Amino acid sequence: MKTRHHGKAERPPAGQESPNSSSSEDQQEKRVRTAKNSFWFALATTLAIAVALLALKERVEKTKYGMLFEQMSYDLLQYRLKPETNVPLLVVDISSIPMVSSNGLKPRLVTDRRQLQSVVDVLTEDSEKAPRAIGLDVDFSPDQYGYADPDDWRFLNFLLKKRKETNIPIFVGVNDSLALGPTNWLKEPIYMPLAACVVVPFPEPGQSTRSMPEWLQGEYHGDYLTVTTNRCYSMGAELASAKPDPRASEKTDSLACVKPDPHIFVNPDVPASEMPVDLAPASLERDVPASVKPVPSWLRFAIISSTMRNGQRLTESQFLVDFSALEILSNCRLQDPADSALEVKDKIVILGRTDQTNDTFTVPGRPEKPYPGVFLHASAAYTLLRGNPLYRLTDSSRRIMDLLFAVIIFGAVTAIRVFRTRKNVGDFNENSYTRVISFLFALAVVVGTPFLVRIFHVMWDDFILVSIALVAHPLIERKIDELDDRIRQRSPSSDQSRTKAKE
Amino acid sequence: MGMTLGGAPLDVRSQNPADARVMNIDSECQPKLTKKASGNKDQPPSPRIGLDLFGGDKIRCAGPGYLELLLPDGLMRITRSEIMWITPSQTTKITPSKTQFTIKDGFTVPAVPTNSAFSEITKDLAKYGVPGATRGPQPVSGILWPSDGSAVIAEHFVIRWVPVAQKITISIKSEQSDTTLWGPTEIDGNVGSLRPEGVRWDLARDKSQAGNHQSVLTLSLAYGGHSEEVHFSLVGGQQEQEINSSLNLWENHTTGLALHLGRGYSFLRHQLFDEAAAEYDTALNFAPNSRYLLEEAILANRLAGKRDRAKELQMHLESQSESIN
Repeated sequence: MKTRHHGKAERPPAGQESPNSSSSEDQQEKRVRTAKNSFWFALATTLAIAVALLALKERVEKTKYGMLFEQMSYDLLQYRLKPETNVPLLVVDISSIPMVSSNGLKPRLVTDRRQLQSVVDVLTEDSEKAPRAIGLDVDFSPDQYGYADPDDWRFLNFLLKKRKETNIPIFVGVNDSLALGPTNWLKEPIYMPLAACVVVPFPEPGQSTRSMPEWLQGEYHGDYLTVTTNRCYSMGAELASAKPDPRASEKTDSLACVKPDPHIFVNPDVPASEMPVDLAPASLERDVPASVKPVPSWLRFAIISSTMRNGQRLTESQFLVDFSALEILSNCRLQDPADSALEVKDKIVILGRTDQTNDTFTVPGRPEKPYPGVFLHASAAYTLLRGNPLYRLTDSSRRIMDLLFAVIIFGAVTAIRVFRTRKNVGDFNENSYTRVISFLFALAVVVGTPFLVRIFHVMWDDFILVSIALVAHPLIERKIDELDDRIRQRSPSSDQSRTKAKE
Repeated sequence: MGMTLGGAPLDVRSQNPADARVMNIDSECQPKLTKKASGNKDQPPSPRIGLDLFGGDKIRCAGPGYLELLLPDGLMRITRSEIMWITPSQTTKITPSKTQFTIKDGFTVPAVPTNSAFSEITKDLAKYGVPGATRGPQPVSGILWPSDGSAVIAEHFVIRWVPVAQKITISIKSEQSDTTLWGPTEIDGNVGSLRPEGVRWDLARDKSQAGNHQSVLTLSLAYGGHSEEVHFSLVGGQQEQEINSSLNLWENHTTGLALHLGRGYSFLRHQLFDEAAAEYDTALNFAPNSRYLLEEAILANRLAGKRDRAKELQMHLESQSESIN
């Protein structure tokens, strides 16, 4: 820092104060003035270097290596998160259920619905041991060619019936069908209460999948300038909010087994008991599912718990996912749902394919293998259930923090200098102090951030880059000092030569 | 893969989306089909269960029975009209409130719209993410070879994948020793196959021999946000001796077609699909039209991730079947 030169030059050596009081006062006043000037100069230099380093850091963040550092930092923070001892979620592996060809107009492979139905049956048959909610991580989205399997209406009726009988919320996945219309996610409005979005967002470049959506809101433009908006909550949000609703039986009375479109029920093979009864049209009103705990308003300038992305007609709210329970969820997966050891009571059960599936994603903190989508939905539900979201720093708070660190180090060095000046303790090598304090501070950041993430849940993913900047700061300052020294050394000689020339 | 419905086999691999499908025909229906004018002068196929229909096709019952069509909205039953005053323009109108649809001149199949009702939402969704759920036609692995559970011989090792228009990263690890044998290496995803050089097979062999077990390796392939891996084994030690002795047996006692058939069988038995495919391909030079051989060659090539070759052989097999019929 610049103060070194001025401080050293102006301060008389200890025990050599002038006996002349007026001259001493003058010197004192001069010292104070110089000290003040040097303080502001040093502060300005520190801030200028900090701003330059900040700009450099922001450029580096966009490079391949910068992204690598950020991903490493985020991985480390995720790895440090500690799961709760009792995770109320269970992933049931349905990989053993075969994919069979559907008889739809658009031929495709679908998870065998009959076997899927028997799994749901087993899970819900004993009310004493029933789960809290069931999510099927199977994409039931119909398209313009109808259901993935033409008999899906029958399976969806079965689920509505189960919901009515057991009060257990059951959800199935939808994705592409958001484009079919505001109430057609499962083709018929009646099935809307079963729909949960199963989309997994693309990660940012160089990152793994950090976030999951809380909801997706479609904006549907109809005739005569009418606009309908409808929000599809994610599987994680729907499951996290699920608790047996005492009003469910009354509520589902108006929902269950409504015959959506009479002409589809002409198949004589359908037993009479399965034929849905005609009821009043479904109410599409739903309880608002669990949401990410918002940040107090006074703190919102610094941290956020969810972010919004706006497309042309689709808005998404997403949040950072706590993957700390991943190992517990993975270890709990069961191959056979009819297993007597299946403990699902009061648990949120997610049925999904964990093997031989293409919906696999790499997640932070566990880069060694990809995880199937079902674990991402389970982790999203776990994050929301925990009620303690992960926070990300806003861009402005990142910048403020970076500058604040520079000022703190500068303040600490200044405080030591003032202390030593007052005590008249020897010579003061400010650069050495700055280097040591910066290094200690960087060390504290590197060690402290992963430690504190368990308490504050703040995912500060550029803390390694900031630490590097903190260590680089005094080195740059020293280089500037040396440059300054050289200029100063050169200046008097040039002055002398100029004077000689005049003579 | 195929599934039957009313006795009609359906194979998802060979079909394009249709606009309607015949699901059931009553014995008294006497179905009549008129294909949409397309310049094709061939006789339209006679209506049968499982027949795909396309926009503009017209179908009706000439007899007193009924037939059922699968439409995007569900099933529709079509009966012969007894009401003679229905005009042709009215015949194509669907009345969803009715469970039966009576027509005189035939039911015209409506074409399914190409785009979803709200295509902007589809575009936004495609930009935002991918479905995190099971949906067919899955699972299809991007890694074609080695496949899960297969075996490889170090000297012949080759990696095949579905070409992608971006850089991909490939690495090979040994599961026992948790050592990286090769990579991670970034290569052009368009290439589709690679014979990696400098793989540290010795590390995998040392560990497997020390533990007297098969060396299981993991091949990882990653690009963008997508990554996948397969587990395969490296042939060595006792297994290598077994294969060699069975190959020797064939070589000592057979020649020509039988030799290659035998070698192919031995390789197939040990999950060495790549080598098996090569043997069956050679055997086909001796008997290019053998149905058994073609089927074996298709299987081996498919398992070895040689999709184009498998497809080529499949077409050859189908042409064989047609000529026999």
